[in-house]
This record gives sequence, C-alpha cells and structure tokens, in this order.
Amino acid sequence: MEIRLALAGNPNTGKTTLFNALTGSTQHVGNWPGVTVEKKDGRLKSDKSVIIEDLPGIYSLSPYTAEEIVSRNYIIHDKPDAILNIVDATNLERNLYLSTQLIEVGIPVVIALNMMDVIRKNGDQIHTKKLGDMLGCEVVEISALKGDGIQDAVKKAVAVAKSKKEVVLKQKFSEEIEKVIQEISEIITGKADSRSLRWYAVKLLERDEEIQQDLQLNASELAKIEKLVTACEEIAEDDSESIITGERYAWIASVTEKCVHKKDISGMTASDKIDRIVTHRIFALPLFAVIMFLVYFISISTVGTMATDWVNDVLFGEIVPTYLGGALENLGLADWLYGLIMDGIVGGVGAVLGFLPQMLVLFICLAILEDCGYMARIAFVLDRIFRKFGLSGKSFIPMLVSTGCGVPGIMASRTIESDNDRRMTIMTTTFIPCGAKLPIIALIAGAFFPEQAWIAPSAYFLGIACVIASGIILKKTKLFAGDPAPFVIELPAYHLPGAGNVFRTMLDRGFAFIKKATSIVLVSTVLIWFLQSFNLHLEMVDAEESMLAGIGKMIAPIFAPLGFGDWKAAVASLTGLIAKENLVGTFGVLYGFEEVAEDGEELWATLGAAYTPVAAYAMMAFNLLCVPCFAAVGALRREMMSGKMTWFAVGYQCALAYIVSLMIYQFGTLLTTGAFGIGTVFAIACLLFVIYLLFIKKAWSPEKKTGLSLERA
Amino acid sequence: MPLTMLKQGQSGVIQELHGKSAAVRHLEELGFITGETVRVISELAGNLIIELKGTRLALNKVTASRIILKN
Repeated sequence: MEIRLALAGNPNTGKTTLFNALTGSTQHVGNWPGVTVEKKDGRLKSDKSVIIEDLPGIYSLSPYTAEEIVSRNYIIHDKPDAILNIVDATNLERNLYLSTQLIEVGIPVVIALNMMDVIRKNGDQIHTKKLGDMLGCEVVEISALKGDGIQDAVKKAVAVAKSKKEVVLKQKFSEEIEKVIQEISEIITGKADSRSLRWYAVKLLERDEEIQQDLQLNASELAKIEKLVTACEEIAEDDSESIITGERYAWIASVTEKCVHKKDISGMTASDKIDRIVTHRIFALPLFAVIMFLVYFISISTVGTMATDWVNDVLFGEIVPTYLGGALENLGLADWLYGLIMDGIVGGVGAVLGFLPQMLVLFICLAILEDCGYMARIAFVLDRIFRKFGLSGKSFIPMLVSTGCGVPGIMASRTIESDNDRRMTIMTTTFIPCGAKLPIIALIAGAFFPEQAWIAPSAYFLGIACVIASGIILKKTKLFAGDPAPFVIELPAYHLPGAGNVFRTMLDRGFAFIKKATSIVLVSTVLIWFLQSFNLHLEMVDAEESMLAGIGKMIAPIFAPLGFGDWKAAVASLTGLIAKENLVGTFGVLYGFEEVAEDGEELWATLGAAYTPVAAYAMMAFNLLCVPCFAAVGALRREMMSGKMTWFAVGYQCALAYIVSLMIYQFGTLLTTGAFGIGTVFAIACLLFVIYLLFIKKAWSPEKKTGLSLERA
Repeated sequence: MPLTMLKQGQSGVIQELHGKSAAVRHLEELGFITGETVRVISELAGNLIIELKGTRLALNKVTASRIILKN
C-alpha cells in the first residue's frame, strides 16, 4: 500500500532541503521565502512505497498568494495520509499558527522541529515532549541540512498514517467561539468530510468564500451561519477573522510560554548588523549595483573568460578540428558528412559549449546570492524605487531568478500578491539577461569590445532600465492600472552559503545547459548547416547561394535600420527565438570554426570585421530584450492563463526590443560617425514617443473615464 | 498612532489594524495582532524592518501605516 506524506510548513523553513535529503532529489533551495512555488513529489529513498510531496511554503490555510493555493488545495482536496509539518524552531510562534490549522484539518500530523542546532547554539531550550503533549501530536527534533533525525520523523509520520487513529485536538477557542463552531458543525454535518468538520466550521466562521462554494451550502444554511457569525462578532466587537486569529495566537503564546526557555535577546544580532549596511538609506543601492556589476564582471570578464578562451580557441579551435577533422578525413567520409560534423555540429554546438565556463561562474555567483539571504533584503531595498514605477519590490525576486533562467523566474512571480503586478512582472522579467543570453553578451563583448569591462554589466542594467520603463508605461494603461500591493516579507537570518549547495546548484544548471546544447541547439545547428549548405535543388552550394541565405535575405531588411541587416544576423536572431543559445550556435556555423582554422582567424575576429561595434551592441540589445525562448513563452502562457495576454506580452517584447535597438544603433552611429539619415529621423520619432509615454501621458483612471462619458452625454 | 511614527530602536504595542483588505488579513496571520509588541530595527525612507515574535519582517510605509499602536 502506498502512503502519501505531505511536507507542509511556513516559507523558508527547510521543506525542500528535507525533501531532497529524504528522496535523493536535487530540487532547488535558497534562503528566501518563496523558493518553491510548485508542488513536487518523490519517493522515500529507504522505502519506495512512501510518496513525499514537497509543498510551497504557507503561513496559514487561508491562501494569500498563488503558490499558497497550491498547498491548501493539496492538503484539503487531495488529502495526504499524513502531514509532516516542518517547523522552524527559531520562529516557533508564527510557525505553530499554521500547525494548529493543520491539526484541525483532521489528517494525522507529525511536527519536525527544524533548526534545533541554532536553538542550542543560542543557549535556548525547547521541551519537545511537552510541546507535543500540548499540541496533541508527535514532535521530532531534526536538522534537515545535516540529516539528523529525519528518518525518525518520517518513520513516525508513516506510523501515524498507518494507525488511522483519530486526531486529538488540544487547541480550544474561548467558550462562546467553541459554541458557535459546534453549531456550524451541526449545520454542515454530512456535507463536509467528517474528519475535517471542525476545520470547515472554523473556515465558515471566518466567512471563507471558497469554502462556502466548495460545500455547496444552500441559502438557508448560509443565512443560519451568517446569523451565528454576526452574533458572535457583536459580542466580541471585532470581525470573526480577527477573533479567530487573535485567539489562536493567544493559545500558542500560552503553549510556548510553558515549553520554550529563551535567553533574553535584546540588542542586535549579527544579521541586524549586516542589515544596517545592506539596507542603509545611502549605501543600499550603490551596494546592489556593485554586487551585480561584480557578478557579471567576474563571470564574463575575468575567471570565466580565461576558461572560455581556452575552450573556444584551443579545444574547439585547434584540438577538436585537428584531431576529429584528421580522424574523419582518414575515414574517407563524404564531403557533406564531413561538413555536417565539422561545420554543423562542432561549429555550432562547440560555439555554444565554449561559453560553459563563463556560465558556470555566473551560476556560482547567483547560487551564493540566493543562499546567503540577500534576496529578501534587496527586494525590500528596491521596493522604494520600484514602487515609484508601479512595481513592488517583490518583482525583483523573479528578476534575480531570471538572471539564471527565465522559466523559473516567471514562475517565481507567483509570490506577488496583486494580479496586475504579477502579470507585469511576468511580462518584463525576461528583459533581464538569463544564463542562455550570457553567450550572446560574452560573444559581443569579446569580439567587439575586448578591453571594455562595462559591456557585460551594461547588458544587465539595460534590462533593469527596460523593466522600469515598462513599469511606468504599462501602469498607465487600463490593463495594469492600480496601486502596487502592500509589501511585507520575512527576512531570514543571513548564513554563509553552503559549499555543497552552491556546487550542486551550479552543476544542476550547468547540466541543464549542456542538455539543451546537445538537444535543441544540436538539432537547430544541424538544420542551419543543412539550409546553408544546400540550395532548393539540394545541390551543395556556397552559403551565399543557399536556401538559408534566401530566407535570411527576405527578413534581413527588417533589421537593416538596427544595423545588422545582413542575412546571417537575421537568421541568427530568428533561431534565437527557439533558444537563445542558438544565436551563438548559428554564428558558429555561419562563421564556422573550420574555415576559421584554415585561414588562421578566429570566430571573434571574423565576426568583429562583419559589423560595427554600435551595430553589434544593437544586435545584442535586440536579442536580449526580444521574446525570450519557446520554453519561457510556454511558462508565460501557463502563468498568465490567457492566450490574449500571452500574445500581448510577446508583441510588447518584440516592439520594445526593436525600438530600443533602433535607438541604440541610430544614435550610436550619429555620435560615432555623424551620419544622419532617414533611420535617424525614425529613431528621434521613437524617442519622442517613448518620452511621451514615460512622462507626459496621463495614467488611466476609472474616474477620468466616467468624466468623459458624462461630457459626451 | 501608526507604526510609522516609531523611530529606530523604539518599540510599541499593537492596538488594531486599519482596513480589512486581504493584505491586512495577511498581516494578522503573520502575527500583527492586538497586544503584540513590535520593535523597529531599522528604517529606510519610511519603510521598516521590524522585530515581531523574535523574527525580522520588512514592511513598506503604506503597510506600516495600517498598523496602529497603543499610545
């Protein structure tokens, strides 16, 4: 018989760490609330009949944000056999608030008290046995990180799941409230799962609309309940939700008073001292800019480049062509097959894989940022700035996640409360260059701006600028109007990033990149090679007369005003829509390593001769800002839950990319060469239009609309 | 008086929360309930980092202004 265990608990309490330890998975963990936004299941390593479900963190069973709904629905509708409730021992009261609700649901609960090592280190004490007795469930001390006690916790959870004993509820509300709960229970008996009767009754007392609908109560039943609720609200002179919340916390306080002995901790903790600097009113923003500059500088311009140069120039530039090329020649392969392997696969996939070292360095930097606790702080610091532009600071967390990959970045926006903010974040978060765009940045920076360290970080800040400008422009439209959601976020204590965790995150993301390079990119480059080697009559021809050149020449005029109107760049931008790595792969094929090796030049040099630096920067900007990739558009579609919004988002991204790139090329050319043409006029027109949207256009407001219609009447 | 009036290092006791939106409900569930003590750890242009029940929470100014303290 299979047993389903749900891991439930507050955000950032170590559920995913425990999940990974129990199932041997490598789900992503980080040190900020909201790392997990989707439920994941896995089987217990030591007993495959036990299925463990990792749920997004929740503060209560009244969902507030999108990812919390996932957790509540799983617990209430899918009914696991037992709940393993992870409780952060250093934050006992807030964590037990959820625990009391979980126990009410009637599914057997075992509490895993995590971070007990920190409690002991602080010299505090928690009487676990007593705590368990008072709550009416088993409490097991664990350390998810070190793996202490976790097997014991699971064993106990499996045991309670099998025993089918009725859950004993120890927590009681005041007499009047208990009476009302009893009366509501009687009304809904037979309509709701008998195990969870009390939980449903409490929810109805709180006027939870979703539950009212779930139970399909009729009008007279609803009226009866409403009468009971109003009566008790009148006595307490408060609304029912506040009464319940207040009493629950009061009861928890009475429990922790008896079970927890804390040393007096007045004064500043180490985290507080760090926060004094990190969230300082003057230093906070420059510090953030410096950190992000360093992340890009280190990964693209220093450590990463040395490795990438070797991979590009020596490994794929000399070693592979010489040995593999020699071996293939000895085999006496047909010309086309030789071309396919050397120009297509080695040239294309090799060009992409060449950037792996730089990406690994970027992934390490990001993993450190995610693991240390800085994420929640920077969201807080940027809230002040983002709010002015109509976005909440919470939008920044998806953006930092997007620096690694846009797909989880888009999903991370689930933690944003307001629908409009969330949709806007989903639309704009991929402006931030992701890992797959890093090769593009590195290629352009290396080929056109070899001595300038600011190019790579500038791509990042260009992304942020576009997010902010989009925030201002979109907030003025009817679609996104409205105040940003109130901002409240729990700040986890800082800790030193675990080397194992950082390393594992880097490996996971690195492997994902290699997988992509050897699947999607491989297929794309083979296709590109085929199209550029043959004409419509399937005769092997020069690239200039190939099918690909034909296709490229058709779309190239679109990009001419942006400075890269030749067919090669046009084709590369087109393949970039499938996956951004393709762009570099395509250039690899088109400016192939093979011919490169023959005349002694390298890819970067040939490429450098083909475009002006301004055109190259414009090309980079276009490809960074334009539609991210098929996978990200898929994620966008899922999170938007609307085809119309998806098309709007894609259209907006294309238009923005085109306009920004046009302005960069035209103004850049004007400044560097003084050339003024029809393109410059268009760029000026675009600039004026953007200025109008940013500063002059009035925001849409419901009042203004009614005012207009009155005038018309 | 609203929580926004507290200076760095000062603490106060919550009297009530203003406005019954989903956001205020969320604040209650995080432990901002009548009788609870909050202490301001640091302040950044009206946005606050506060201590509540031994943990740190960051709030922006609008949110903090909904939390009313006992005088």
